[in-house]
Amino acid sequence: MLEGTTGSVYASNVDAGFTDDEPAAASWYDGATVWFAWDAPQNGTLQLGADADWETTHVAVFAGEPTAASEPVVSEYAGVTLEVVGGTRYYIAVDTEWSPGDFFVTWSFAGSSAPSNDMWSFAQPIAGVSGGVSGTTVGATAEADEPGDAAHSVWFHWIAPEDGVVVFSVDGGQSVQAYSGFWLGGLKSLGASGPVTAGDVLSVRVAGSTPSPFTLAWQTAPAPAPTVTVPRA
Amino acid sequence: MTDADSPHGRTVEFAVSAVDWRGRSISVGCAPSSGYVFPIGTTTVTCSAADAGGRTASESFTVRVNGVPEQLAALRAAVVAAGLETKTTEKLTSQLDDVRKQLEATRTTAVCGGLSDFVDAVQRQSGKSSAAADADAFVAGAQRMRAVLSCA
Repeated sequence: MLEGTTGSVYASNVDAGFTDDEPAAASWYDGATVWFAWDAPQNGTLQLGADADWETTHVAVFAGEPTAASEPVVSEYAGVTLEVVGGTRYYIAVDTEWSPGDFFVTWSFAGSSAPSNDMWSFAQPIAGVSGGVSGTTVGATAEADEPGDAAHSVWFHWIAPEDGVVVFSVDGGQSVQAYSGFWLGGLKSLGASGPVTAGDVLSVRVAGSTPSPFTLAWQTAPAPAPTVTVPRA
Repeated sequence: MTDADSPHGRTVEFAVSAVDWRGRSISVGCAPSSGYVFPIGTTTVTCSAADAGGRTASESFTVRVNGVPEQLAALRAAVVAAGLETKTTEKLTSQLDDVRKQLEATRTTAVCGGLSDFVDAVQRQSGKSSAAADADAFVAGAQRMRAVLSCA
């Protein structure tokens, strides 16, 4: 596992083999493939190198755990540069051209200018019966499965602290929608306000066709008492 | 408002309901409960409900059970309003007035007798100067008062 946004490790593919469940595209000539994994902390650019002073290396990068049939996101001699998606684990295969030996694997990651809560899975937690938080959709993009049609969106997660009716509002020319549900493709819109029960988890999407800084505010009106209907005297 | 039909009052049934803030039906309890024998007079019923969040609400209403004086006055008014022949109206209202005087004097036996006489008089007139439905209602009213008074 490669840890952190930059680093270097000393490795070797001596005695490394190639098995049937490894993707064919990971191997070069001799099949002495060794593997590394790295988790992208956010969207950005990753530079990867495998440096050996005696031999030409080959680097192939797969998004997610590869199968025998997987194709790499990118593969090149010696090193690669690729755009990565936050939250994705990348698997890196390093092979040598002619004979196995020792080499350094180096990596350097630069986060993009996208907000950290650009993706639903990295939604920013917000809390409280009421409150406000600053954010921006500048640099944000929309994910493939997310609801709504605005091109720039960021996400928040809010857990209802008590029963009531919550109202979300946003400025900066952005719109806000709250959703229930636990996966991006299955979110159900509640609009900008709605009744909640303590413990409900809402995904709150702030979006706009024109990206802008904004302030998201929310307020929860306490749930009223029950209504008892009795006969008229 | 209802009329007593026994010395203890009358069994009264009523319907109540409660919903939580999201419109879901929740249980509600009342004291006294529906089906209770309400005594003559006015009784306040209080109904309470609590939702899953522990929020509570109560509403009250009154149940009025008429005793013999109120029922007697109502019966007299019904006789007057029935549009009977003048002579018949005068006879029946006179009987009821006598019953009221005996009631005010707490002469229960005389009241019972007077109501019995009223029943006899109504039944004699039934189908003649009074409609059968009116007669049945007058008799039922008088018999109910006799039940309240535990007349023999």
